[in-house]
Amino acid sequence: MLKLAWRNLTNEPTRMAISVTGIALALVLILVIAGIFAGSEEFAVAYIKNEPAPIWLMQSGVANMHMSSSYIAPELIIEAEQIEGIKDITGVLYTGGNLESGEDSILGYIIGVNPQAEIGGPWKLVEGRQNPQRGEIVIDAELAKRLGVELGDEVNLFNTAHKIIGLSRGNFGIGSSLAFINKQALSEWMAVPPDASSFALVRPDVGIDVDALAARMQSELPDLNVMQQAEFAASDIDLIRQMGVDIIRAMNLIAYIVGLLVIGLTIYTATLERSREYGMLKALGANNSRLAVVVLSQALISAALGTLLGAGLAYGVADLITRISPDMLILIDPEYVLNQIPILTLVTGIAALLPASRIANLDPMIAFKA
Amino acid sequence: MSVPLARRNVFFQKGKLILSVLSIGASLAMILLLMGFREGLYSALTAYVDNLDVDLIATQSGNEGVVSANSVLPGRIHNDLEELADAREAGHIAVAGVIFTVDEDKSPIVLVGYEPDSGLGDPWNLGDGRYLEQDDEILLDTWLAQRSGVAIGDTVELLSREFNVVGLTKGTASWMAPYAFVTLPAAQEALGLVDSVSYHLLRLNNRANLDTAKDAIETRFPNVRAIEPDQIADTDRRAIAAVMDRPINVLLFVAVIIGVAVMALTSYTSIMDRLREYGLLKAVGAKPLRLNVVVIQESLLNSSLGLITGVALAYSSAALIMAQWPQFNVTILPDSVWKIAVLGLIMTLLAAILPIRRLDRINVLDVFKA
Amino acid sequence: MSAILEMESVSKTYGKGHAAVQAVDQASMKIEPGEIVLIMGPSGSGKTTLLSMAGLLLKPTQGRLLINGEVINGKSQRQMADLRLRTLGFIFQAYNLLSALNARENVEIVLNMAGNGGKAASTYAAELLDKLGLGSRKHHLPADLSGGEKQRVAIARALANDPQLILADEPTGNLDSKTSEEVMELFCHGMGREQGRSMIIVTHNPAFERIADRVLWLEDGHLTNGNGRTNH
Repeated sequence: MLKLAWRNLTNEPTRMAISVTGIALALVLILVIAGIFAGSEEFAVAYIKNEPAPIWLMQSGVANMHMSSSYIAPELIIEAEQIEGIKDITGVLYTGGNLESGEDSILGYIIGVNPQAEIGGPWKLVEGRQNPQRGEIVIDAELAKRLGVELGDEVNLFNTAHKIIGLSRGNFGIGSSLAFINKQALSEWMAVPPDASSFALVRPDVGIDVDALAARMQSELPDLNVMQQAEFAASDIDLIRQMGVDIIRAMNLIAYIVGLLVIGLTIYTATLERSREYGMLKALGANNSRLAVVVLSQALISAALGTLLGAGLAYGVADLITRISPDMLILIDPEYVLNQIPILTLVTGIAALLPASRIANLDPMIAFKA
Repeated sequence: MSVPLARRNVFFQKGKLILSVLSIGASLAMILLLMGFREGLYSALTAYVDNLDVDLIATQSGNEGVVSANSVLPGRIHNDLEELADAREAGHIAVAGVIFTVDEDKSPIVLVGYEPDSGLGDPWNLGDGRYLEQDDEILLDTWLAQRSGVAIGDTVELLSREFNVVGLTKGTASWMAPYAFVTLPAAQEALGLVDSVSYHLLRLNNRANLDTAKDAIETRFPNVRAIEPDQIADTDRRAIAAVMDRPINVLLFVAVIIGVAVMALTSYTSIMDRLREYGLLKAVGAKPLRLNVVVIQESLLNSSLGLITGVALAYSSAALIMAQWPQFNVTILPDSVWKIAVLGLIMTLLAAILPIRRLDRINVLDVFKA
Repeated sequence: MSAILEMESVSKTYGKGHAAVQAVDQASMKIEPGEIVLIMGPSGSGKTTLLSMAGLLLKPTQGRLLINGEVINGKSQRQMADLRLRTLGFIFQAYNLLSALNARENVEIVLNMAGNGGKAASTYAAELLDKLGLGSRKHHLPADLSGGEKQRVAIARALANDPQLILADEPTGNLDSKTSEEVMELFCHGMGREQGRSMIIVTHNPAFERIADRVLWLEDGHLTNGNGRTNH
């Protein structure tokens, strides 16, 4: 029966190709949307993960950087610096802003860093320098390409021209692009004291137990939230995941419905055109369940091929898009691909119901009609 | 031809017709829903500004959005602005993106601090409860409250401060960042805005001239821009679009290819079912162009029915989605329907290529087979 | 009056070199107006190939084909299609009706293809069916017709554009003996033979001999007349 199913499918290679492609594309949709969120997670926590600061300070009640606001008064930083075991604390300011060049505009996060600070700025510089003075800016090299600017050119931020003094890497993501400007200049813009911060990066002394230090800092700084680096990054990832879960579910539902209809249409028409043959098999004694197995096998084969093609295409599409648009990182998790298989199997089973019921209602006498 | 062969072929097998139309309809609906999702996202994000019943908004120059920017202005210029603009009413608000956390559930929100006494900047649609009276009170979006398991009378924590939920708003939901409202002093304190606000809101006297008011303000305060609400909404839309359009366009592209594949499958299957009949027509003298026209007519008929089904599916799905998941605002504009109709036409013609090519290769001698 | 169809030493070879198969070898025949010519022969003798060439569906590898004295070799596919539409009519063993069209529409569609549309075509199609005894079955789909009825619809379709030559391939192959008789009667008296319409009938059924003017025999691709002599 499996052989019959295979033959029925491959008898019309073009139709099979179209339907397998349709199923594959539905899967691509599912994998790409999940991949977009997974990719944006990567970019969103890049700053937290790449800065060499095991401990982060932020306003009490704040536990995220992405889509967040935080304010640390200068005196709290001073208080924190008194705690034993700390090598240094680097405060940065953090706000949203539009980087503009001509007609192009990219929304991202602006980080105000002290030019003298060792950390807090771009962690990978490809050109220029990274200690922006007033009126200067460091942006991602890919972002510069998108805006059509180079080192030495100017971009507009807050209606003020900023000269590009450095090009960095790894700071260009959808909705999470980073640009670095002078902290003092930004503090004036944000109408906060120059020594105020949004977040503070803490480097412990060598040999200090980071867990113990973090706990101690939290107990001594009740007006701040003290988070370790991994925990802080995980918090942002969790945030993005929670934001994405509903959309992903909604898109998946729609894509699976389309996939179901494509499989259903293919198998139904394949069944229709072989009505006489199925009738003949019935006349020869094949029972409905046996024939249903043929139909289901056809559906499963189509779905399996569609899955393989879809997975392959999804990785290809992800790679291509990231090459064309580096801010759109699409990460496809193999485990997520495998998790779709049970759902696809269920969808395929449902799609096979209509053609199977049609066969069940076939009159074996059709075999005798001219 | 007088005999409507295409129409007869399409309507001959009801089961297949239903499947085909549903498949095409589902794939077109998917495209419409994606477009509607995009439109709805932007509308949801600009909902506050769209519903602000003011004539002018004074914002920090270079920060001319509400969702996409962090404007900071001194509170003390309030009276000057009122006088310069010849305003009958003036108010100010603080706006910032923060994360709302209840247990493990996180949600980015746009926090608006407004002055309950001023009557400006308050939520435009209070579903349940009452408006703010105290600084320790909060208005939450209805969906956000439901999602977080919070009801009127509960206490929630935001930026380490406790707020009593006194009302639930409508029209403020968004999967990206719903709105929440506290009093202005509460927002200033939580956000560290000392004597600062984000925006000044102005309602002008009837005799006042908008352009004159703008000029007066911007001349007196060069770092202030006086803009109309819809301009701010426009800035926000463009900023968000610059971020969101790319990933949505990727999904739209895949959805369109799926649609073409589904249409191709439908047309191709239809031809293959009738290969012998088309062979017969060729044998008795039908010109290739005539047969191609029949194929295109069949495809157009299927697609038209699919379009009607797709539009109906899209609108009803949108209503269902918004009822079930209020954080998704799906706005299908009539404009989108026209675009889909044109796109559908192009897709149909593309999809007809394969079956037409197949027709060319028909072996007319098959008509002699018994 | 010239012959409607002339085949001069027509051959058809499939394949090349060692794999070449000569389906028809140097066949010649002339079909005069009003003639009914049978082509008989064993299975695999090339009858369908010969009929296909006569019906302008297959190009000969060698030889000349003439319709009403005009050489057809070298004409384009478009011109051949036009000739088939206006000069020839086809009747097949498997009827080959369009399943989504009713009986009248199956006849009417070939009228449309020849540029005749509207009510006139519809009325004429109905008249043809009436003449063939299918007046009450005009609006039925092929699935609802018996074998004999289907073949009569096919006959009406073949007659619709007033062809000079009708080609029939095993027209009674799927019919019972009684229905076959009825169809043969039609071929004899209802096909316009008196008006000069000719027929080529490929068949295994010897009963057709009584209505034929000539019987040709095709075996291993060689066409001979009924008494074993090569046909000219």
